[in-house]
Amino acid sequence: MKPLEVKNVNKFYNDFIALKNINFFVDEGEIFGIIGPNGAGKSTLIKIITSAIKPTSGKVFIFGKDNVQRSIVSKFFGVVFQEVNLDSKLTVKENLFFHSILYDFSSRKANELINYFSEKFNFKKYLDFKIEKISGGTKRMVELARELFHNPKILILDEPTVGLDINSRQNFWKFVLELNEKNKITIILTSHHIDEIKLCSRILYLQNGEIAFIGKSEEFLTSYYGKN
Amino acid sequence: MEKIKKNFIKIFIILYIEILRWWRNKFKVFTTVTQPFIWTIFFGIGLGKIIDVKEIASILNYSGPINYLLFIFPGMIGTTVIFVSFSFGHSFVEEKEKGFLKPIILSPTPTWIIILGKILASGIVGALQGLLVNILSFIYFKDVAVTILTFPVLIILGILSGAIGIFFAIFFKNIGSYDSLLFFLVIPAILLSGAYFPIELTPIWMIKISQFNPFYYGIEMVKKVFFASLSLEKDLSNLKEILATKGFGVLETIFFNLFFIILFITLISVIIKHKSLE
Repeated sequence: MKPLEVKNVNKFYNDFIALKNINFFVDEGEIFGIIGPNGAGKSTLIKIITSAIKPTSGKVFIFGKDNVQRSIVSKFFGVVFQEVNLDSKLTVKENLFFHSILYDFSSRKANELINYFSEKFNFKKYLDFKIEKISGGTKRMVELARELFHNPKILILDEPTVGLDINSRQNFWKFVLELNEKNKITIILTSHHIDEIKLCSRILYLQNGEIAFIGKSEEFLTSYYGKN
Repeated sequence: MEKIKKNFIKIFIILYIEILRWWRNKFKVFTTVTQPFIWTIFFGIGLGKIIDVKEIASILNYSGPINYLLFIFPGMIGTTVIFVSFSFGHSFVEEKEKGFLKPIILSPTPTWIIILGKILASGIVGALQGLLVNILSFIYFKDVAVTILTFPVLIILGILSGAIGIFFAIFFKNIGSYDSLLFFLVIPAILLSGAYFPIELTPIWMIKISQFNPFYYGIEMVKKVFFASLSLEKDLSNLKEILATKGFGVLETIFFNLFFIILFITLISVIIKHKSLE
């Protein structure tokens, strides 16, 4: 079964066509890029895949299961969105603990996970800091950790390094690539950075809500950016 | 059984997080607590000079000593609860706007549990702030029965107000638009609730409108319990008698409040099945 299959997805907002006739699949363990200019429909597609919004028509299957069964399919994926969505009034630890409970972990298991990931991703010293007091790079690592708590098979990254400095970006990608290689986690990525696009095995290029290209990233880079 | 237990834990954690978030916003706590005190002073003393309190007493079927300040006390406590609990709708829109709600909604936790947790939190927080105002009534009336017996109905009113606030919050994407509801809907609804003047003294068309106003039943409930407990005259052995003579009114208003709570929670459940909370 494919980690992700998108079949005949359309999304209309009154007369505006956000997505038109979207069909594709993602293989297990691959890094799949969804790219396109601003307003092409990338974020809308991500929201439909994660069941945050419903398509006007069409279906999305996560490991063969219709994504309308959110309580089942949401355990398969973790999502790092473009904007930070940690609760700024709570501490790092409270954010992570709250998330763990929503994913059915006991409080003992939640604390174990918090300890393990905060050490692995180097933010243990910030556990009792409120989110508003920590840097953008640390927030990203906290979000990445949070989305890995339930051991997802797919990691969806919607422009995850927007606003991060070079060091934070490198740090972020070091962990993501390690996850892809060691744990065979499938990565679905949207990005505007050419060096991040190069990490993808295949690319889906959206333009005005339609698929303008789908295929190997080398082919895409050659056709759209030239050989260099 | 395991699933029910997990759902209860989730509701409790959502409730805890909401209360924690409210408590950490000290300025909001301060303004919502002091606002009714200021209103009580200006309304109570100002309007008290021009309003016929004897007529009010006869409407309330209350035979004890009364002044306008006494009349608006339960209304003021109820208004505090409505404002505080309704403001959970504001927090809900803020969570949508800032994206905090996204990971919560995408979790395997059913949306109705998330909503229920938030509504219960709004009820408890609203009632706690109502209790702070009610302490003022304890200082004034030296009657602990009023403070204690009013608290449970404040929770009911808080849950009702929170459910209404979150019901409207579902349709709004930015805080500015949602907050305009306060002036467009909440303040007129409070004025038509009988908190500051008895609805019975208004023209018939206003009385008719107020019958569709959930806050009217909320304020009525608080007033009835407040005056019933005040009539206990510090002797709880009279409770049975009070409930026997005035009980129908109290129970009736509680019933209407529960009816509106169920109505709004049902509406929320139906809407979130078909509408994204994005």
